[in-house]
Amino acid sequence: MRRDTHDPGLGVYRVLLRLYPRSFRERYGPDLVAFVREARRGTTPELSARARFWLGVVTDLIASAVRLRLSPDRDAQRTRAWRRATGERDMGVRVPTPPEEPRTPLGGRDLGLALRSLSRSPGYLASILVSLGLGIGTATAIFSVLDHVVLRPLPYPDPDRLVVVGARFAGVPRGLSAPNTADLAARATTLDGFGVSRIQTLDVTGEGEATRFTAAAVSPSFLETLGARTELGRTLRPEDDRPGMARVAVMSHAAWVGRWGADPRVVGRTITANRAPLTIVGVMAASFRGPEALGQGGVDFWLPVAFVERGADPLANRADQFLSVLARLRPGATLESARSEVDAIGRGLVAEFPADNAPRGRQISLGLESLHEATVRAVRPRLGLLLAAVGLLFVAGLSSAIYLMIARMVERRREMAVRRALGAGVGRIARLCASESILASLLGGALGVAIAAAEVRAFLAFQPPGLPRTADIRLDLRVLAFALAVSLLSGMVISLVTGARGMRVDPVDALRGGGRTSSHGRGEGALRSTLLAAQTAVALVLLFSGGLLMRSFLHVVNVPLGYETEGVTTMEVFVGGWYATSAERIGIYRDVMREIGALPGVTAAGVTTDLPLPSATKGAPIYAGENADPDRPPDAIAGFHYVSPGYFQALSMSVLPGGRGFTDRDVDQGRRVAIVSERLAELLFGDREAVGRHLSLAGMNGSQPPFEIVGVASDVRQQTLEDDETQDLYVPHTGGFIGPPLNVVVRSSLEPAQIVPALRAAVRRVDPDLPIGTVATLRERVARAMALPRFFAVVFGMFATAAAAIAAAGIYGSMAYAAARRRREIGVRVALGARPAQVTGLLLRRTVILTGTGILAGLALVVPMIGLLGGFLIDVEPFDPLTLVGGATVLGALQVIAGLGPALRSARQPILDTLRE
Amino acid sequence: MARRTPRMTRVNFQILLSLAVEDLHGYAIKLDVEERTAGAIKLGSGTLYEAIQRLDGCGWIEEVAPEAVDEPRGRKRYRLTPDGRRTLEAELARLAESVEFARLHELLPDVGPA
Repeated sequence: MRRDTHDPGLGVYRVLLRLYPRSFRERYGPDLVAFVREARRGTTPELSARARFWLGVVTDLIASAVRLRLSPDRDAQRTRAWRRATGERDMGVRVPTPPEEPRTPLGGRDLGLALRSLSRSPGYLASILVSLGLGIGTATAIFSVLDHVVLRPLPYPDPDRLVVVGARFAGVPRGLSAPNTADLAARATTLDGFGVSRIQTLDVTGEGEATRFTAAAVSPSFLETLGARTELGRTLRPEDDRPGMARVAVMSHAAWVGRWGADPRVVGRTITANRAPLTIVGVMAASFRGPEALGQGGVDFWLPVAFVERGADPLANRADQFLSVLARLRPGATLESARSEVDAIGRGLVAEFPADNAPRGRQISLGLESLHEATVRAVRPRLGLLLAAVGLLFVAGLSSAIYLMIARMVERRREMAVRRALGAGVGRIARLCASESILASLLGGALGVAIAAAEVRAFLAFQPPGLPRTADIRLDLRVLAFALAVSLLSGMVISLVTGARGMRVDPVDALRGGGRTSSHGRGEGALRSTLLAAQTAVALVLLFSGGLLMRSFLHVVNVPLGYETEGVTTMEVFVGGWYATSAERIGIYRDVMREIGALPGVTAAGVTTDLPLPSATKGAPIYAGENADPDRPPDAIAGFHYVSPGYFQALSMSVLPGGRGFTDRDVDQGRRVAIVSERLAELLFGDREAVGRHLSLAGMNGSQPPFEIVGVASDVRQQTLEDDETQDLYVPHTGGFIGPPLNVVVRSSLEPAQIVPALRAAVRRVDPDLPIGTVATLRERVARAMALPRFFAVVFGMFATAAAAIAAAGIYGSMAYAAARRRREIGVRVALGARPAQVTGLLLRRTVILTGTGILAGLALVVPMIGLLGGFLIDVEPFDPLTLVGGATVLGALQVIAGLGPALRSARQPILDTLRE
Repeated sequence: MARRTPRMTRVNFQILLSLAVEDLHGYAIKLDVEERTAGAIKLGSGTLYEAIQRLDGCGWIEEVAPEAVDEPRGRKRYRLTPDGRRTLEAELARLAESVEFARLHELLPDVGPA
């Protein structure tokens, strides 16, 4: 057979064909593979489309395999006859075929027998159910996340053919300008349905409390390409998208319900947004959400792009590359052909309009990716890590279940042997094993669904930030179908393994030997030991990863911030551009600060352009001294913050002696003063005193006047929790800014419940139409910055615990089983004078060997895991011997303790009973 | 040991219908069925060959001997047996009766130009 060296999927499919009955597989195997290969060629190379394809293939395979195995095989008999007729080697069953039994599909009677048989060994059953439940349940929970976030097609018509066109300029991703987009739309033959979008804000006043909403300025074609439907009213039309027309908008369903109380009269109403009238013409259907890849995750209004707020006449300026562009592949076009066409058109546009598209010698280049890829791209590494862990846990659970089933079956050898001797055919034994395995798996799967429900709830509570489409995550039919499929798959694997074992039982030997012949049958013992070692290995890897992630998290929690979070509240106030003059805005700012400062209980208040964690400023290049030389590389890159005099007090940041903070006089007189962080001072001036010296910035338009340094502030964690190497530069906040909100920082002795309404009221006293954004304690902001490390620590902690529990249970079962097996031997030893301690030691030896082997195997698995973990660890080296040794020790101790119980018990058993057996 | 006949399921019916026109191999049958039912029936590999085994088992279809010696494995073609053709015709006749009844009693929805 031709080897498909380039598609691992087909290789896996070939292996999975073993799930089919042998006769079916031999007859139709090549055809099945050829079928799947042809079908695969019909799918697009997008990861999600491929994933969905393989999911469909595997589901179909499992379903048909189950049906074929459980159903009467008269057709299979004909297949066998066919094989003989075509001259292939007859690979009939090893055991002589018994007389024809009435074969019926696995029916209620079989399951009833299986249930009774399983409940005769409740200990085993409980352990099997827990192992399977944990493995299947966790796999199901993660699948539900994966399904909703990555696998499902986006909720738009023909979603796999939607693409995002983007540009790169000097390596930095940007949007496209309106004229460039128009030309692209006119020239592209592989794409149509072009639409543009730009995110902006709308400050809505006069409808209750002034609030800032996120909005998207879009072309009507954008909404049409996405198949947007309205629940009320209409969507945007091309007539709306002209500068002279009245401003109209469509409201999101969430905003309509949440803020306007689902009042149908909102359609046709004119509200005030950004100090100008805006008429609502429709409300979107509840199911429509803008694409998160284009930043529309929380968009509440869609208005025509003709009204986008961006300077003068933004749609005519070819050099202003600010639009996100959406398009659809035409029928017959592929992603690659569209990509090369777009690239070629881009180069054409650069040649035709060099001034706009290639300023200062650097060119823009156009590219595209599918909308799905854009949505999912950022998420993949995180999900990859989770998948690895879940895969390991599932393997541990399944191998544990297999192990327990085999152990239980070996104990019932006698029973099996008697059945065989009384004429039960091989098929019957196999059916018994199969029905028990499948029933146990289904029950384990049911338990798993309950576990998955709890895990999904926990996931949503601890959600890591930045995952798209998490609102939809739930256990729906598809996820339940997955759980069922995994349960059936587990059942089939278990039944295959145990069935093979069951058929190998030689009736004569089993009936004769009782317990004397060593049931350490070579093959069987090796399999069991392998399973146990596998569980231990998995537990070690998960414990190690969990330990690292937990240490990372603790590190993050304890990182010194450089400022006090206790009693500090932050508030965003938006002083928009409709205050015509800078003087007006400064007046508002001063009034707000005065009102807040006058509030009882407020000990300090300040303002900044960006709050810490995360801080949004880009790095500004800084030069020591009074002259910034653009040809020289800068002496430092620092975060640039505008702060008011009260800021440092509000955060309890210290300014080192020898310098001072900002004063109101600095602001009034417009002095160019600056405060640098310690690290920045060191970078610029080394050991020398920074106060009194100057620094300058390289502006876009050449050098700006230098700043005089008046103080040095302590280093703080402004930008991210992980990075402690950043520097910060502070200059006085004048209050006249249009873009950034006023981020007010207030230290008070009041409880949040008291201070928050007081702050809002203070702002409203100044101007009731000033929108207020997020009000949160600094504690909450910092906690949110820690969300991702906390999420991983929690999740891996749970996985590690589950895996350790599975492994310990496995060792316990193994010890109990070994002790039971060797009762006679132990009885003899005790009769000959062995002390309990010696017997215990003898039994524990096996445990120690198994545990040791498992730990060694686990060490090998740890290496690829380290690769996956690397990106998620904060200030912790992945190759951390301490955590590794710690994990191994904990695991080893746990296993030995688990094995101790049965060992001790067996050492103390009464001698006579065992000898009598 | 009476010959057990499978029910005329949708899938079986569609496969027989495809093979009534032309001898086809597996994937071609799937494409034909999918196109004829406008995507309502999408056959997976396992489901298809499971049905093929059953239909072969009761003698309604049979494998066509490969024409060339070097024809690649995995491209077995199938054709209707006389038995299968008779069974299909019987089923079609039954369906035609129902359609005629529906037409007489004006139950048929307007399916547009033929």
